[in-house]
Amino acid sequence: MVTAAEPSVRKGHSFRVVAGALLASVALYASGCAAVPMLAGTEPRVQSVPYRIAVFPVENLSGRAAPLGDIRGLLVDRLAAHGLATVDDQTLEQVLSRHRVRYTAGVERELAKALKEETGAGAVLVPSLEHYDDVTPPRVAVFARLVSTGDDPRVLHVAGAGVAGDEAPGLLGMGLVDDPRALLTRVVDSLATSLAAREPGAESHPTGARAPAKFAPKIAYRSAALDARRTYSVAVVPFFNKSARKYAGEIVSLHMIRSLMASGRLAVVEPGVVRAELLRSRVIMTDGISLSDTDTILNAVDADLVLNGEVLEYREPRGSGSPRVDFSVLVIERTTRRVVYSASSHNAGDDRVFFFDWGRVATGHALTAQMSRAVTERMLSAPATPAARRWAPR
Amino acid sequence: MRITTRSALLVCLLAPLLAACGPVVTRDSYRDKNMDFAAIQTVGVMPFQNLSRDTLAAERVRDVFINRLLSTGAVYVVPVGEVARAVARAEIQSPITPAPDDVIRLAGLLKAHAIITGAVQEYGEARSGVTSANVISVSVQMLEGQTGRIVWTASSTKGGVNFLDRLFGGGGRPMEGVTRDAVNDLIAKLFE
Repeated sequence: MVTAAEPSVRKGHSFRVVAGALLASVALYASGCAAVPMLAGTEPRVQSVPYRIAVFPVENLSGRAAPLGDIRGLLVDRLAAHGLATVDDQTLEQVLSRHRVRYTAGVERELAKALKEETGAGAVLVPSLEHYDDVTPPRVAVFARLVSTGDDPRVLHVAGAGVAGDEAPGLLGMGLVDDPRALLTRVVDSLATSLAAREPGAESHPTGARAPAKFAPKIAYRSAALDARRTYSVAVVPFFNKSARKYAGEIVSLHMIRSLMASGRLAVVEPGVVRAELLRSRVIMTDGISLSDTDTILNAVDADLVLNGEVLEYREPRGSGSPRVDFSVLVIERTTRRVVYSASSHNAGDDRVFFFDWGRVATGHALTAQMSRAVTERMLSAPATPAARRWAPR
Repeated sequence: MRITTRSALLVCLLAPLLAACGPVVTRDSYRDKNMDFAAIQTVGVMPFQNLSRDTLAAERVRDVFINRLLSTGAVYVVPVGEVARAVARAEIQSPITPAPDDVIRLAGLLKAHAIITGAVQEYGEARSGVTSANVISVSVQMLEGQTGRIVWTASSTKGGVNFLDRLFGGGGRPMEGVTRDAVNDLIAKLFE
């Protein structure tokens, strides 16, 4: 019996080993099929919003030619699919040409008022194309900022999504996407979902889990003058771009605006209003923001904090490779006229990635989103920097 | 005990050689003993001089230095935009190497107790045979706001090709990490 049973036991054992190995390998491959972290759900959800949205032309921050008209058309279609009504193109063009508006990457006060009165739009959607690369694997990243119209334009919601074709290769590479249009559709669909899912009255998208520790700023200073319990309004001034990537300053500014909004404790002044005030006051910044510039901006937009910074590196790989981002942030408070927060942050997409691309961040968008979120978390939740050093006695 | 001619000759020959093994008389930092550093609460950091091949090296190092200095909590660093404005108002021709008079004027405009200047001598990849690694060499000096004289200087070199790099390769550490090490070293020397 024992002898007869032995081969069957051995056979059963080897079957279990083979099955276990197969399961393990499937699990390993399946890890590549994990959900794309920077995409919201793509289920269409019809929601009736009591106002119409004026969708502005897409701001091209990709630094190269891209199908901007198609992206805008796709966005309008997906908004309609989610039950969001939009202002028709002809009416919008008439208002823009009547008021001689050439800059459509932001909304200033006069334009917001005119849009409210002349089109009846309750909000403006400002789409920005962060990245568009059709080289295999393709990469696409888009931002969409919802701004209220009327006398006081405010940022209501910021949505952003970025994906790469090789982000989730899955089993035998079945998850690889070679078609940039397919990625674009996914990205736009997720933006529309995010905009539709916005709770009425809520002015930020819900706070998610905390950013992983590896994205925390490498150096940070937080003054005790920054009250963690208070609600501040923040004017974000475009970052200085010292990287080789065109428009990196504007891109990091958008990421910071999104993370500040996501905190739920900070109100962000519409960048279009800030830009208009900078132009009106003829503020020229050569090497960072000065205290007089800070006074001018904050008094004009009636905000408590001004956030500025510089981008030293913003590298999005073409084809395979990992993105690299390096930027610093400086926050000055209105009443004390002092720096209340500063942070230096840099990361690469393959930081702390050791096995099978586990934890790899494939796009510059996803990397910057995590970094800016970590910068904001540190600003709002970390205790004030203690005096870690003291001068040596004489 | 008799001293032979041979042993006397040997001592004479060895003496200069042993002298070379004596302690180093120069250090990579200087600190004015008469200066009361505890009185320094606000500093302005001027643009660093860039002597390396990387055009952005000085700005990167200055940015890290300012953030690290602020994060010590011991001194307040005036925003760089305010420094640039003061340089323009004081009509300083060479902000990276200001004269004592310029330092006094700048300190007055910035309401700073001291002005810090610096130079990045090396920033980037260093090669040794077939091995390469990132290296940084930076020097910083602090000038007193009231007199314009130098009260502290220090330099630091970090990174480069070491024994393990030669043995196993690997290309050394990333530039950001090496920069942070050098700046940490400078800050440690400032407060030592």
